[in-house]
Amino acid sequence: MKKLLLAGLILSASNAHAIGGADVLLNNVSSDDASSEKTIVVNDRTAESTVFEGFKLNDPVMVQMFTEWRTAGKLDYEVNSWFMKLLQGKYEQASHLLSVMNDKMPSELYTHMKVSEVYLYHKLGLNQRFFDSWVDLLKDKKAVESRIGMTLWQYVDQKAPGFFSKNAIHITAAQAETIKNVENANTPFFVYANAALALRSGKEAYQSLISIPSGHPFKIPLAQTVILDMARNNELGNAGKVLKKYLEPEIEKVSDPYVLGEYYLNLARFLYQAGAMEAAESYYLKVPNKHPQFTQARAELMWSYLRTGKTAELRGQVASLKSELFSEYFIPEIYVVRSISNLKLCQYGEVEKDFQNFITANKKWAQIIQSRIKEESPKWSEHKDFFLKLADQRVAAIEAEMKKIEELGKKSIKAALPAVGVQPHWSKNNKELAFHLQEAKKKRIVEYKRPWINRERILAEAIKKMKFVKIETMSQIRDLTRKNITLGNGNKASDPLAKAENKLVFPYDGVFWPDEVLNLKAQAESLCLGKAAL
Amino acid sequence: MKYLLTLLLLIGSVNSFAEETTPAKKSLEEQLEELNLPANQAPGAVSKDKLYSVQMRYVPLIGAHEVSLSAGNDFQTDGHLTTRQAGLHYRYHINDKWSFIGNYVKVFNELNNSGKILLEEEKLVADSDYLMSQADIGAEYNMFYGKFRLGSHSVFYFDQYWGLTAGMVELRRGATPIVGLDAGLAFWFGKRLSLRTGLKNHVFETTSGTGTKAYNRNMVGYLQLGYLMGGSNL
Repeated sequence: MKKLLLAGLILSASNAHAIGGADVLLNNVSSDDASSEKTIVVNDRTAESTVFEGFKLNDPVMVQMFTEWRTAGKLDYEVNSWFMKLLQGKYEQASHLLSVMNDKMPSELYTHMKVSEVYLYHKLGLNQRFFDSWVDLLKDKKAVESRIGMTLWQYVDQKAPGFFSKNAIHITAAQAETIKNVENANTPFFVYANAALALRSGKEAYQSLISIPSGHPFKIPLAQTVILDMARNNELGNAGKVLKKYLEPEIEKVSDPYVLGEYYLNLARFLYQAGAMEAAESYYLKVPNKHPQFTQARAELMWSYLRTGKTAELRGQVASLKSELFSEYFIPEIYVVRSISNLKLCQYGEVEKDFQNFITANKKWAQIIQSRIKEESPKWSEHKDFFLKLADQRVAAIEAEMKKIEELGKKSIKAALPAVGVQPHWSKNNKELAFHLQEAKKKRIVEYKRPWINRERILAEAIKKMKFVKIETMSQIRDLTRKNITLGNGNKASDPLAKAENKLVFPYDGVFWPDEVLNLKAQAESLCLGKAAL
Repeated sequence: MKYLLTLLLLIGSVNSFAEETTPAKKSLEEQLEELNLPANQAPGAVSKDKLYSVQMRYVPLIGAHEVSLSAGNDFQTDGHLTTRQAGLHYRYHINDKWSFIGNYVKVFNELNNSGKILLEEEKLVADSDYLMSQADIGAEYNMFYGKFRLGSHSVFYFDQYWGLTAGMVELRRGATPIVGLDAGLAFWFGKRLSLRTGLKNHVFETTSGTGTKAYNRNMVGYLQLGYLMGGSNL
């Protein structure tokens, strides 16, 4: 880097001599830069250094730009003036002239013009437009492979690591295609662009997961995407490996209670799926009580208790979750699990109640879910996950950039220009951003519908299970009636005080103390004549 | 039947990863309506669950060290003295029930009104073999526990404990052995703080000015503020 800078400066110094030194520049300085003119003495060799003093050659693009400008031969006054502004770091002034310069720039410097555009957008914090113009430039192989093009590429690569995650860049399908089709696309820009594209790509995200460094904000969502996809395909072993190798170290690094809670929940789900019930239970119980998915974790824990026959824990858990305290939460499976447990204990009267409660509790949710899915812009007032936040950030970033460009457009009217009115490139930029905004908003709607669609699916599954329970209940009741069997008097079916030696035990009298919620255990009775039927 | 349950549970297991939807032919509300069971078909027998709250101790004591400072007042002095004491106490909790204890107490005596009147008017000083300091060791047992509630968000736990101690006491007229019985309540605040209040009864031998020996008893009411360290869950 230093060598490049040095070489550039040496080259430029010698070239300046060749074409007549600073006088060429001085003759071309525009009137609005009068203050800097005053410091320069025409035909004085020392003036060269005075002119270059204001130049900010602090990155490879500027060094290369300077070098190539100095070797470009005699240029128009306006072209030189524009290069001066750019090299002096007057980015806003230089950016106002982009449209004008497009017409005036000699063909040999056309690539420089395009490169400058990309560079200026980045310098002005117009991140979406910086990305757009760079991707556009990528289509022009000749431009990208030119010396200045390669230097810009190097600059873009330097900025790439945090660029996509910080600025919530929107990538259109066409841009994704362009990125995909670039040859030898393994530089940082492509690594991070592909990571941004892979966030929702299932197992395909694996390549990006291993490519981006530890600690990057995309690392955890990419790992979750890969793991989820593997779990869906029942590749639990591979999912476990990814979890251990990539997700766990990241979670340790971020030490965020939300991320940790989510990790426990996902781990519990894998273990449940793998049939390791005891281990799954311990992780469900680790999800902290202030975590947004705490009730979800406890609801899933019920299934584990049901499968392991922990009736005391199961019925205690259900007693808490069906209380008024949780009436605002979406937990449709409470009554499914309770009805199965009641059926197991031949408590048919309770099963009947479970059906009534299931219908009453979930009718309200069915209405809410269906109306939200139909809405054009559904709202989600609960915790927003990574993707919901990203969708919001993306829209906000584009809107902020549009506002910034509007301001720049207004400023361009007052700027000293050989043109009148808002500069056309600003208007064009906002048109491009308007398209991005429309797309980003559409994607946000899809994201906001996702949790409601998930709930629809969960409720539909719960209804499906209740149908099975209904069939079984009706069948057992018919059997009892046909055979004229009366139920038993009640045999103890669970012992809440087992393994409670080192614990505090208090009878529950119907009033919840804050520390008792979800710590209940039940002494249940079976009304079956013999051993429970299920 | 078992197969049916297994099927239900399998359906349950994949549910956690649900993300996409499958369009329902009927609306969710219609599907819910279809679930209604015919009324009064179920046999009449009912059974209610008995529920218990079963919790881990909020402050697990196993292996914990507790250091306390105390202030106490002797309610059973000889009638001419006001006896107060300040102490330093150490407990090692073997488990949630049992602990070892070591105490050192410095005793502060002064004449009370009766003693002062006797001195000023009769020029007499009560013949008292009063306590000056005390050091003892012993064991404590947490008999039962309970909790009380402050508002809708705070619950405090307490243990009722009994203790037996033995040691030496420094009296005005020399040192003598002492045994004591202690009963009190330990309240736990957060994971580390304790507040103990209770009554201690001590028996020890005193010597009168004439050399007569007699067994004496005192009853000290105290407050101890303690700090817990170590332990399995601290």
